Amino acid sequence: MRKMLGGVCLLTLLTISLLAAPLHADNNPVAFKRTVIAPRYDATKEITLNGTVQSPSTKSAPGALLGGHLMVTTLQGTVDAHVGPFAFSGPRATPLASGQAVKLVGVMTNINGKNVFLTRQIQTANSTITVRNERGFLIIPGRKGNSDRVSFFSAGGAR
Amino acid sequence: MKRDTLLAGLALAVAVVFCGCDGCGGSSPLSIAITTAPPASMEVNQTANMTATVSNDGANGGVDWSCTPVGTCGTFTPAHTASGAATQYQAPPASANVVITAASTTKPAVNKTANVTINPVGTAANLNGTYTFFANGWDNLEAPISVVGSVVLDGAGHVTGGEQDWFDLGTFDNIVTTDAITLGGTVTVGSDGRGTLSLNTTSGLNESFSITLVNSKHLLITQFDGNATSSGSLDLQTAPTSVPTGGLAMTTVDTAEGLVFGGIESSDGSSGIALVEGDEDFQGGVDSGSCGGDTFTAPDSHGRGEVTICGNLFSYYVVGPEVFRLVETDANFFLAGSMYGQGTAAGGFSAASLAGNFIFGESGEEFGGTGLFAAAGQFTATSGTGTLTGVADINEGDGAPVLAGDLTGSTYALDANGRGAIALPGTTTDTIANFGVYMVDPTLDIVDPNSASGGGGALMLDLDSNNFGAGIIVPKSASPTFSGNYALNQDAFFVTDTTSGFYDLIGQVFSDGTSTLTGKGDLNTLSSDGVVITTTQNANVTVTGTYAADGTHAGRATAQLTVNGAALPNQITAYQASSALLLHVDVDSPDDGIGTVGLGVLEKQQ
Repeated sequence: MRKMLGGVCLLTLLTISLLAAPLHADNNPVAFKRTVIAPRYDATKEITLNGTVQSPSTKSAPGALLGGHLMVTTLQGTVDAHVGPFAFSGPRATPLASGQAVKLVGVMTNINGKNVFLTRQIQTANSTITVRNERGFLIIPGRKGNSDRVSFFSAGGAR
Repeated sequence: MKRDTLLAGLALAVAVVFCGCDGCGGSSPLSIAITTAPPASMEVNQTANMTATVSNDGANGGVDWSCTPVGTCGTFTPAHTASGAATQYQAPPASANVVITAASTTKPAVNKTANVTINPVGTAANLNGTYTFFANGWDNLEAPISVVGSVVLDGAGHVTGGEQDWFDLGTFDNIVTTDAITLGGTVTVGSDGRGTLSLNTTSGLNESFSITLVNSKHLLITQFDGNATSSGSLDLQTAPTSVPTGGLAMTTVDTAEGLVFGGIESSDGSSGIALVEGDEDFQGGVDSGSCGGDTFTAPDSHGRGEVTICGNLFSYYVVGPEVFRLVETDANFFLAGSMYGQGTAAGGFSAASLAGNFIFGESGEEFGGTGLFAAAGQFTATSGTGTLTGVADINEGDGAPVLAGDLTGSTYALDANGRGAIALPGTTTDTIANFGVYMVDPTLDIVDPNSASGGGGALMLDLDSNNFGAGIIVPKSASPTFSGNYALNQDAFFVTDTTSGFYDLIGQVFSDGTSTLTGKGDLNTLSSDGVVITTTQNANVTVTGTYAADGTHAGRATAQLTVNGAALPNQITAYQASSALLLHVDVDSPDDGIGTVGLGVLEKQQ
């Protein structure tokens, strides 16, 4: 390999002159097949739940989504609301207590045979905490932007 | 009975007794010889079979094995053998001058010795030159941090200079900086190849790394201080004046924005570069495109240059003629990653370029659970049909047990420029289904860029609606072994009943080649109990494990890894590329009592 790389400088001009154009052109790109997977968080099915916190818990039951859960009493019964591991931790931790009234925005779904409410937003009397974006991805610590940012392909010089 | 007869009988009896013990065998005395001698020198932890033969031992007592200095000279399995039977000697974990003794069990005074010099895996003296490094992780506010740079080591344990580019989105909120590495840092290497690297910088962001030497040109590193925990590598800079040239594959990850980006670049080798085809996944939104008119500058004396990609500004650091580490410095995004040349293969790729046996590993973000996922697997691709079969372990952190997911029904295709795609059915891989593939020079080693035995492979992105991530695809050899000293790391997120957070483990383990791992490591943990974030550096912790090959899928093994005496071991699945490289994914679920999502490597120390 070393011997071959030793000749890179000599070959570079030739290599580029021969390959740069075809690489750019690539007039016969292969049609790539994609497997269509439905988003597991369907924002069109978002609902709002009003309820009272039974218990905030960082512990996941066997088979349940890892991370924090809120067991919330609603008019429709008790709802297992997943809020992920970051809502209860770190500098942006959400202070929630048993008996506290909350309004949850999210999507009810079934994962691993269990009904779970994928919480996107938690609203309390004096704060609103976003734990997921509109595509359902958890807001991990340090997240800077939002989901409507421009594409990387066109971001250059944007700021 | 006459007195003479009595004495003669007594003498005969005594002779019989003593002959029985010593093996008179006529007139020849009992003797011993080491018939299979140990090598004159061995590496720490290595094993060697030895035999000794005892002659004229009517008692057939066999051989007792021992060594000095007692307690630090190694072990024998077994410590007693029959004459001519083998014992396995294992060298100690620290360098030493050892004297091995094979003694007759019947008559211990009859023995033979052999001298063995136990050599370290490496020393700081082996680290001499300019090395390029990178590390990605989390700062002590659980915010993303990335650093890419080069450091000059003098072969005497000193850091004499260097340069780095980094961003830290928590502790140093948004700072993106080019930073000089100043005099005063140090590098140490222990007998097992584990050590430390401390860097002093003009910005004041001094860094302490734990390191594990794979070889003198390639080391694993982990930031091991209270400021951050992160993982990366340190590689000898073999051609500091190199610039991106010809076809290049690249992938980058932005944890802060939730973006992965990759593609194929084409460079004129002078100052012009263009994205021929690229892909991005921005929090589940997948897009493809190309960009022209980008430029790059030649590297400075530390191997640092600048390159624009779709107008976004990156710093690059040279590793070798075809390998560059990248970090974005314009704060448009916070991307960090690598760019690999395609060599003479550029422009000539086809489905046949990815035909054969490969393993892969990737990590990134997912829609639920912990928010993070890790995956590893192996596949066989058939170019004629464009189909792919294999198995993968996908840990989505979603609470479901991680199973060996069948990849049957997968397809793949490649453009001539090396950009390709793999489509899995998704039904057995927890909805992970679409990979972007970016082929590298078939002579390159993606993991150890200065090694000549890598065999190429590809960089990859996960381009799914429920997942996005990045990883690598490397060739899988036919009959690898897993025996000897290995550098180990793991980059992970964990959830317990009361805490959650990130950790990075770096260390060294010895594999006995059949079922066990033993070694030491450094564990940097960033955990939150819901109120307080705590950073904990546990140095020199024990790392032990057991493993078993998967009888159905050759090259796949399940393992249990216990770190720092934890009550519950981590469940690991490893995929073996070669005798020199394994990728492992943590497959814990709440059913195992712990929840960890992590990815790592095992690289043989040579």
